[in-house]
Amino acid sequence: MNNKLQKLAAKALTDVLGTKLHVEANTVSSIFIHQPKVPENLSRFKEKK
Amino acid sequence: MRYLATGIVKWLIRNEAITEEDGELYEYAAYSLLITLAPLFLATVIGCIIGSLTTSIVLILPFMVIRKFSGGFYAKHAWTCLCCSCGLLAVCFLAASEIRFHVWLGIIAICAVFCLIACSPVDSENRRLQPEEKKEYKQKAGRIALGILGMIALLLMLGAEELAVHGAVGLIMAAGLQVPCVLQHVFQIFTGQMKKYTKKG
Repeated sequence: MNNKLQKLAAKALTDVLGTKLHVEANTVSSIFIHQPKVPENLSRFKEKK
Repeated sequence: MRYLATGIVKWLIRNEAITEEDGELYEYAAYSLLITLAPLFLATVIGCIIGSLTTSIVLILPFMVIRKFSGGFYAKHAWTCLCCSCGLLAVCFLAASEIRFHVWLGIIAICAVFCLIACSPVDSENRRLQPEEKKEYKQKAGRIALGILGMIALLLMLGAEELAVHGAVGLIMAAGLQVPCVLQHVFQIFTGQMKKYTKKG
Protein backbone atom coordinates (compact mmCIF):
# COMPACT_ATOMS: atom_id res chain seq x y z
CA MET A 1 0.00 0.00 0.00
CA ASN A 2 2.82 2.30 0.98
CA ASN A 3 4.62 1.41 -2.27
CA LYS A 4 1.48 2.15 -4.30
CA LEU A 5 1.07 5.51 -2.56
CA GLN A 6 4.72 6.36 -3.25
CA LYS A 7 4.34 5.54 -6.95
CA LEU A 8 1.19 7.69 -7.10
CA ALA A 9 2.97 10.59 -5.40
CA ALA A 10 5.96 10.16 -7.74
CA LYS A 11 3.64 10.25 -10.77
CA ALA A 12 1.95 13.42 -9.48
CA LEU A 13 5.31 15.09 -8.85
CA THR A 14 6.50 14.08 -12.34
CA ASP A 15 3.44 15.82 -13.83
CA VAL A 16 4.21 18.96 -11.82
CA LEU A 17 7.86 18.90 -12.90
CA GLY A 18 6.77 18.29 -16.50
CA THR A 19 4.66 21.44 -16.37
CA LYS A 20 7.61 23.28 -14.87
CA LEU A 21 9.82 22.11 -17.76
CA HIS A 22 7.19 23.38 -20.21
CA VAL A 23 7.20 26.79 -18.50
CA GLU A 24 11.00 26.90 -18.37
CA ALA A 25 11.30 26.03 -22.06
CA ASN A 26 8.98 28.89 -23.01
CA THR A 27 10.08 31.77 -20.76
CA VAL A 28 13.30 33.72 -20.32
CA SER A 29 14.57 32.88 -16.99
CA SER A 30 14.34 31.94 -13.43
CA ILE A 31 12.36 34.42 -11.34
CA PHE A 32 15.01 34.11 -8.72
CA ILE A 33 18.25 35.88 -9.41
CA HIS A 34 20.06 32.66 -10.25
CA GLN A 35 19.72 30.78 -13.51
CA PRO A 36 20.97 27.18 -13.32
CA LYS A 37 22.61 25.67 -16.39
CA VAL A 38 19.96 24.47 -18.82
CA PRO A 39 20.10 20.83 -19.99
CA GLU A 40 20.28 20.37 -23.77
CA ASN A 41 17.10 18.33 -24.10
CA LEU A 42 14.91 21.06 -22.57
CA SER A 43 14.13 22.20 -26.12
CA ARG A 44 11.75 19.25 -26.60
CA PHE A 45 9.33 21.08 -24.28
CA LYS A 46 9.46 24.23 -26.39
CA GLU A 47 6.15 25.16 -28.03
CA LYS A 48 6.26 24.80 -31.80
CA LYS A 49 5.01 27.91 -33.66
CA MET B 1 18.63 23.00 -2.84
CA ARG B 2 20.74 21.13 -5.38
CA TYR B 3 21.03 18.11 -3.06
CA LEU B 4 17.28 18.19 -2.46
CA ALA B 5 16.62 18.26 -6.23
CA THR B 6 19.01 15.32 -6.76
CA GLY B 7 17.31 13.39 -3.96
CA ILE B 8 13.86 14.03 -5.48
CA VAL B 9 15.01 12.76 -8.89
CA LYS B 10 16.56 9.61 -7.39
CA TRP B 11 13.25 8.95 -5.62
CA LEU B 12 11.34 9.42 -8.89
CA ILE B 13 13.65 7.00 -10.71
CA ARG B 14 13.30 4.45 -7.87
CA ASN B 15 9.51 4.69 -8.18
CA GLU B 16 9.72 4.27 -11.97
CA ALA B 17 8.03 7.64 -12.61
CA ILE B 18 10.89 8.73 -14.91
CA THR B 19 13.77 7.01 -16.70
CA GLU B 20 17.44 7.54 -15.86
CA GLU B 21 17.89 9.26 -19.23
CA ASP B 22 15.44 12.00 -18.18
CA GLY B 23 17.11 12.33 -14.77
CA GLU B 24 19.15 15.42 -15.69
CA LEU B 25 16.09 17.14 -17.16
CA TYR B 26 13.89 16.49 -14.13
CA GLU B 27 16.70 17.45 -11.77
CA TYR B 28 16.80 20.81 -13.55
CA ALA B 29 12.98 21.01 -13.19
CA ALA B 30 13.08 20.18 -9.47
CA TYR B 31 15.91 22.65 -8.85
CA SER B 32 14.14 25.36 -10.87
CA LEU B 33 10.89 24.70 -9.00
CA LEU B 34 12.63 25.11 -5.65
CA ILE B 35 14.26 28.30 -6.92
CA THR B 36 10.86 29.53 -8.18
CA LEU B 37 9.14 28.88 -4.85
CA ALA B 38 11.94 30.47 -2.83
CA PRO B 39 10.89 34.13 -3.34
CA LEU B 40 7.28 33.28 -2.45
CA PHE B 41 8.50 31.43 0.65
CA LEU B 42 10.80 34.31 1.60
CA ALA B 43 7.98 36.82 1.02
CA THR B 44 5.67 34.75 3.23
CA VAL B 45 8.23 34.52 6.02
CA ILE B 46 9.13 38.22 5.87
CA GLY B 47 5.42 39.09 5.59
CA CYS B 48 4.68 37.08 8.73
CA ILE B 49 7.58 38.72 10.58
CA ILE B 50 6.48 42.27 9.72
CA GLY B 51 2.85 41.28 10.26
CA SER B 52 1.60 41.98 6.76
CA LEU B 53 1.27 38.82 4.65
CA THR B 54 -1.15 40.18 1.99
CA THR B 55 0.98 43.18 1.11
CA SER B 56 4.15 41.09 0.93
CA ILE B 57 2.45 38.71 -1.53
CA VAL B 58 1.23 41.75 -3.55
CA LEU B 59 4.82 42.99 -3.65
CA ILE B 60 6.40 39.72 -4.79
CA LEU B 61 3.79 38.69 -7.39
CA PRO B 62 4.44 41.47 -9.98
CA PHE B 63 8.16 40.86 -9.55
CA MET B 64 7.77 37.11 -10.11
CA VAL B 65 5.58 37.51 -13.19
CA ILE B 66 7.67 40.21 -14.91
CA ARG B 67 10.99 38.63 -14.10
CA LYS B 68 10.02 35.48 -15.96
CA PHE B 69 10.06 37.46 -19.20
CA SER B 70 12.29 40.44 -18.49
CA GLY B 71 15.29 38.72 -16.94
CA GLY B 72 17.86 40.82 -15.11
CA PHE B 73 20.83 40.41 -12.83
CA TYR B 74 21.88 36.80 -12.18
CA ALA B 75 24.01 35.67 -9.26
CA LYS B 76 26.59 33.04 -10.17
CA HIS B 77 25.86 30.82 -7.17
CA ALA B 78 22.56 29.87 -5.55
CA TRP B 79 23.80 30.82 -2.07
CA THR B 80 24.82 34.32 -3.20
CA CYS B 81 21.42 34.59 -4.80
CA LEU B 82 19.61 33.47 -1.65
CA CYS B 83 21.48 35.91 0.60
CA CYS B 84 21.10 38.85 -1.81
CA SER B 85 17.43 38.08 -2.37
CA CYS B 86 16.68 37.90 1.36
CA GLY B 87 18.38 41.25 1.89
CA LEU B 88 16.72 42.87 -1.11
CA LEU B 89 13.25 41.58 -0.24
CA ALA B 90 13.57 42.67 3.39
CA VAL B 91 14.64 46.20 2.35
CA CYS B 92 11.82 46.45 -0.21
CA PHE B 93 9.18 45.23 2.26
CA LEU B 94 10.33 47.66 4.92
CA ALA B 95 10.45 50.54 2.42
CA ALA B 96 7.00 49.70 1.03
CA SER B 97 5.56 49.53 4.56
CA GLU B 98 6.93 52.96 5.46
CA ILE B 99 6.14 55.03 2.38
CA ARG B 100 2.83 56.47 1.22
CA PHE B 101 1.87 56.76 -2.42
CA HIS B 102 3.22 59.99 -3.84
CA VAL B 103 3.50 61.34 -7.36
CA TRP B 104 7.26 60.61 -7.27
CA LEU B 105 6.57 56.91 -6.71
CA GLY B 106 4.22 56.97 -9.68
CA ILE B 107 6.88 58.63 -11.86
CA ILE B 108 9.51 56.08 -10.77
CA ALA B 109 7.07 53.23 -11.51
CA ILE B 110 6.43 54.67 -15.01
CA CYS B 111 10.20 54.98 -15.57
CA ALA B 112 10.57 51.38 -14.40
CA VAL B 113 8.03 50.29 -17.03
CA PHE B 114 9.95 52.19 -19.75
CA CYS B 115 13.17 50.58 -18.54
CA LEU B 116 11.59 47.13 -18.67
CA ILE B 117 10.24 47.74 -22.18
CA ALA B 118 13.59 49.08 -23.40
CA CYS B 119 15.99 46.64 -21.76
CA SER B 120 14.07 43.34 -21.68
CA PRO B 121 14.93 40.58 -21.98
CA VAL B 122 18.23 40.33 -20.13
CA ASP B 123 19.37 36.75 -20.53
CA SER B 124 21.79 34.71 -18.47
CA GLU B 125 25.06 33.16 -19.70
CA ASN B 126 23.58 29.81 -18.63
CA ARG B 127 20.68 30.36 -20.97
CA ARG B 128 21.24 32.50 -24.03
CA LEU B 129 18.21 33.49 -26.11
CA GLN B 130 17.74 33.41 -29.86
CA PRO B 131 16.89 36.73 -31.60
CA GLU B 132 13.28 35.66 -32.26
CA GLU B 133 12.89 34.62 -28.60
CA LYS B 134 14.27 38.02 -27.48
CA LYS B 135 11.70 39.80 -29.63
CA GLU B 136 8.86 37.67 -28.25
CA TYR B 137 9.89 38.08 -24.62
CA LYS B 138 10.43 41.81 -25.05
CA GLN B 139 6.82 42.18 -26.15
CA LYS B 140 5.54 39.96 -23.33
CA ALA B 141 7.59 41.78 -20.69
CA GLY B 142 6.32 45.12 -21.96
CA ARG B 143 2.69 44.01 -21.94
CA ILE B 144 2.95 42.54 -18.46
CA ALA B 145 4.68 45.66 -17.12
CA LEU B 146 1.95 47.90 -18.60
CA GLY B 147 -0.72 45.57 -17.24
CA ILE B 148 0.74 45.76 -13.75
CA LEU B 149 0.98 49.56 -14.00
CA GLY B 150 -2.70 49.57 -14.92
CA MET B 151 -3.52 47.39 -11.92
CA ILE B 152 -1.60 49.74 -9.62
CA ALA B 153 -3.63 52.67 -11.01
CA LEU B 154 -6.83 50.68 -10.44
CA LEU B 155 -5.85 49.89 -6.85
CA LEU B 156 -5.23 53.60 -6.24
CA MET B 157 -8.62 54.52 -7.67
CA LEU B 158 -10.26 51.91 -5.43
CA GLY B 159 -8.50 53.43 -2.41
CA ALA B 160 -6.16 50.50 -1.77
CA GLU B 161 -3.13 52.76 -1.43
CA GLU B 162 -1.03 50.31 0.59
CA LEU B 163 -1.48 47.53 -1.99
CA ALA B 164 -0.71 49.99 -4.80
CA VAL B 165 2.55 51.02 -3.08
CA HIS B 166 3.61 47.40 -2.65
CA GLY B 167 2.76 46.57 -6.26
CA ALA B 168 4.76 49.60 -7.44
CA VAL B 169 7.77 48.56 -5.33
CA GLY B 170 7.62 45.06 -6.83
CA LEU B 171 7.60 46.57 -10.34
CA ILE B 172 10.49 48.90 -9.49
CA MET B 173 12.44 45.97 -8.00
CA ALA B 174 12.14 44.01 -11.27
CA ALA B 175 13.38 47.00 -13.27
CA GLY B 176 16.07 47.76 -10.70
CA LEU B 177 17.60 44.31 -11.13
CA GLN B 178 18.14 45.06 -14.82
CA VAL B 179 20.20 48.16 -14.02
CA PRO B 180 23.49 46.33 -13.15
CA CYS B 181 23.29 44.42 -16.44
CA VAL B 182 22.56 47.56 -18.45
CA LEU B 183 25.45 49.40 -16.78
CA GLN B 184 27.75 46.43 -17.42
CA HIS B 185 26.73 46.43 -21.09
CA VAL B 186 27.29 50.20 -21.41
CA PHE B 187 30.69 49.85 -19.69
CA GLN B 188 31.69 47.06 -22.11
CA ILE B 189 30.71 49.23 -25.09
CA PHE B 190 32.62 52.19 -23.61
CA THR B 191 35.80 50.17 -22.97
CA GLY B 192 35.50 48.67 -26.45
CA GLN B 193 35.31 52.15 -27.98
CA MET B 194 38.24 53.36 -25.85
CA LYS B 195 40.38 50.43 -27.02
CA LYS B 196 39.54 51.24 -30.65
CA TYR B 197 40.39 54.90 -30.08
CA THR B 198 43.75 54.14 -28.40
CA LYS B 199 44.66 51.65 -31.16
CA LYS B 200 44.01 54.30 -33.82
CA GLY B 201 46.06 56.84 -31.86
